[in-house]
Amino acid sequence: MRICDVSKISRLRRSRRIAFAMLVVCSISIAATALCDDNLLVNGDLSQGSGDAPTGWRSQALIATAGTVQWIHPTSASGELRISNNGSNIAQWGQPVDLDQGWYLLTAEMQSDARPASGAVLGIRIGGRTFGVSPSEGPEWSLRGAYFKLGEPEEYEARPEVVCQLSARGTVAWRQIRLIRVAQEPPSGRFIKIDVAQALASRSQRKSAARPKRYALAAGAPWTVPIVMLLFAAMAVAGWVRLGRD
Amino acid sequence: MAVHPSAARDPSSVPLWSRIDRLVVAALVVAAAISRFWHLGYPPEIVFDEKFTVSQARCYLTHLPYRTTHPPVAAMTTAVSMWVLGDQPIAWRIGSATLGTVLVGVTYLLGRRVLDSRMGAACVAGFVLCDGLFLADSRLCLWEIYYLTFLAVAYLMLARFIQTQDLRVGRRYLAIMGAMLGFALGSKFALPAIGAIVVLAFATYSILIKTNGPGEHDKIDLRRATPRIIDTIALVGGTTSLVYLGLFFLNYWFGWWGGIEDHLTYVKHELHSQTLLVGAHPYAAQWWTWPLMLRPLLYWFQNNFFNDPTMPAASIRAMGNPILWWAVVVAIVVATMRVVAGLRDFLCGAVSHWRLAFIVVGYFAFYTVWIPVARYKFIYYYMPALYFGFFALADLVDRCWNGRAKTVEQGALLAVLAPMLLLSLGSFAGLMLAILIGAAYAYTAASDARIAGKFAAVIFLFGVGGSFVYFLPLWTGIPISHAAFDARVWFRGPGLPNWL
Repeated sequence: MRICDVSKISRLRRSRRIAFAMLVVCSISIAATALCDDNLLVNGDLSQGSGDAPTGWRSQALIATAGTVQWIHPTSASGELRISNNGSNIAQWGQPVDLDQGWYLLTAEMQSDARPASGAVLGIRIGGRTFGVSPSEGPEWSLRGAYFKLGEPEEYEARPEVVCQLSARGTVAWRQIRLIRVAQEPPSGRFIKIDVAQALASRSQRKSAARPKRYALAAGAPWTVPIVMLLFAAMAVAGWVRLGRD
Repeated sequence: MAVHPSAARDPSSVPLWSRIDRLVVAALVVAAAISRFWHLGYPPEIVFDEKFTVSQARCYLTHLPYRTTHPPVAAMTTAVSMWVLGDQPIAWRIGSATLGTVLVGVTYLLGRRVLDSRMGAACVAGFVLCDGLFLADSRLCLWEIYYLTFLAVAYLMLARFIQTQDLRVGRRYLAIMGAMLGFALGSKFALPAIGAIVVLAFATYSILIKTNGPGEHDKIDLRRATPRIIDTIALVGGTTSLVYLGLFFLNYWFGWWGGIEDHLTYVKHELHSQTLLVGAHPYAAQWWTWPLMLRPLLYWFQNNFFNDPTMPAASIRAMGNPILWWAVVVAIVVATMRVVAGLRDFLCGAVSHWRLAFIVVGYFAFYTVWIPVARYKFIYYYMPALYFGFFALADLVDRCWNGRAKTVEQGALLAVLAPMLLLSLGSFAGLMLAILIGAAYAYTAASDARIAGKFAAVIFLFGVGGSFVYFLPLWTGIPISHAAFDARVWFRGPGLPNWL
């Protein structure tokens, strides 16, 4: 009996230990999950802010009319950024970020009726240029994103900025915006890869290059040039001589 | 200089060239050179339409064709400077800066003849010097300053021709005028043709008057004048066409064009391109917004399209000196009323009226030509009209200075300062200063009208100078604080006025 009791107690203790260990593992997992929300953006779910200003984000517009830039934020829920352009305009929501050299993944859910669709962008503005992806056409929300390869911060004149930009007519909305660091070059897959450092370097090369634009194939007869020039020269000389007679 | 009343009626009257002229023109040219050449290599990147001019210059240097742009003078000049100095920003812009400096000196010479006054000439050259759009375009490799300078020389030759009685001497001026018109047409597509038409029209008018004798009310005998008019058109038209066609010699040399037919194809292509530029454009400005400078254009910005509050703001805007632009509106209205009042005498051959008529006709010819044009337009299309507007304004300031302007004209000139004071100093300080100036003017006008005129002219010129210094960062890209930037961008929409 006693032996049996000891065995029961031992099993009970083991069960308790396993339960405790599981509790510890679960707790660590939950804490780790919370701590591992490695979104580099402040207020990426757009739930925080005051008035019309979401925390961490700023709006800018070439022509700022009422309703061009909006922060839609239902109480105690994640919000969305929205831009509406009735005419020709450029407007954006942006958040400056400090990014080291390496790979990053920027994603957001987007909804757009921009015309053309390429006028709406989720991207990173750097070196005076915006790199990013445009939404797919249609009223549904869709997850869009891209991997960005950045060079050394010293290579850029200003801080990079994550931007939600609209330079076309229409209305576009962004929500659940996330920017995370990726340890190594990602495999080809759902999101496109943009090598920002290389693009900026090739852009600077293009800027100093001669880019010819051809005329239509030469079709005129060469003799027409001296004839026409002689005609005009004769006109000028005749006018000169005749005016000198007075 | 005070002008003798009888001399003012003589078309050939010009202030005698003196040491004062040499000093004034030297001072103006030095000031222009400093403002045009200072930090010319900044910004060290392609700005706005330099992407066309510099690309075309690079293509010339590498013997490659470049079709989609204006005629070749600006690009050829740039190619030469790039060949000498290398492919760098100073080399791109040195041609514009040089011509922008020359333009100030030429404007003084032209002002002496058109306004018949040293004071007026100094004013009009000073206005070109202190205007932001003329400054910004002189510091970038763009087409505008090229054709404007060549047209200004053509206007100067016209004035010399009108003021010369001997046609044997006058034909030299016509030949140089034709060459300058050729260079202008070779610098910008089609637009300088308006200047050519205005110049030829006034040369024809001058021939009519010369043929019929110096009497102011002689009847015009067209039959006697017609052969001379034809000769004048032949000389000017022939020279213009010869120079214009000659400027395209590289296209034939490199084999891109075979004959004249290819040139015509190019012209057709450019005309067709213009018809495609319709619809909306964020920088577009309707023609009726130009005189009030409601929608300038952003040539360049540093780092970010939008003004970043965390960084100094550095940008270059195609916008003028607001005091000058708004005062030109007043001056053109005054000048037009004076021309209309003297129209009958002008048509009857009272040649003393050519000066003001030339200014008003030139202004409206370059301005109204844009009304029926369907393509989207930009504020810098106003520059050739504005150039004439500066002459009208200088005439008004000169008349104020010499006590010949009416009280209402003096008051209108001063009134232009009020919005500037309110917008730059704030409502209270601006209003107080405006009231103070108004009260001082009223007091002076009550005691001595001549001194009141001088007071109005001096205060206005101080305003122009102050405005030039104030807005200089927005024309040259000098970095300034965000607060200073905000203070200068007076209009930000929504609605029509938007300085971007």
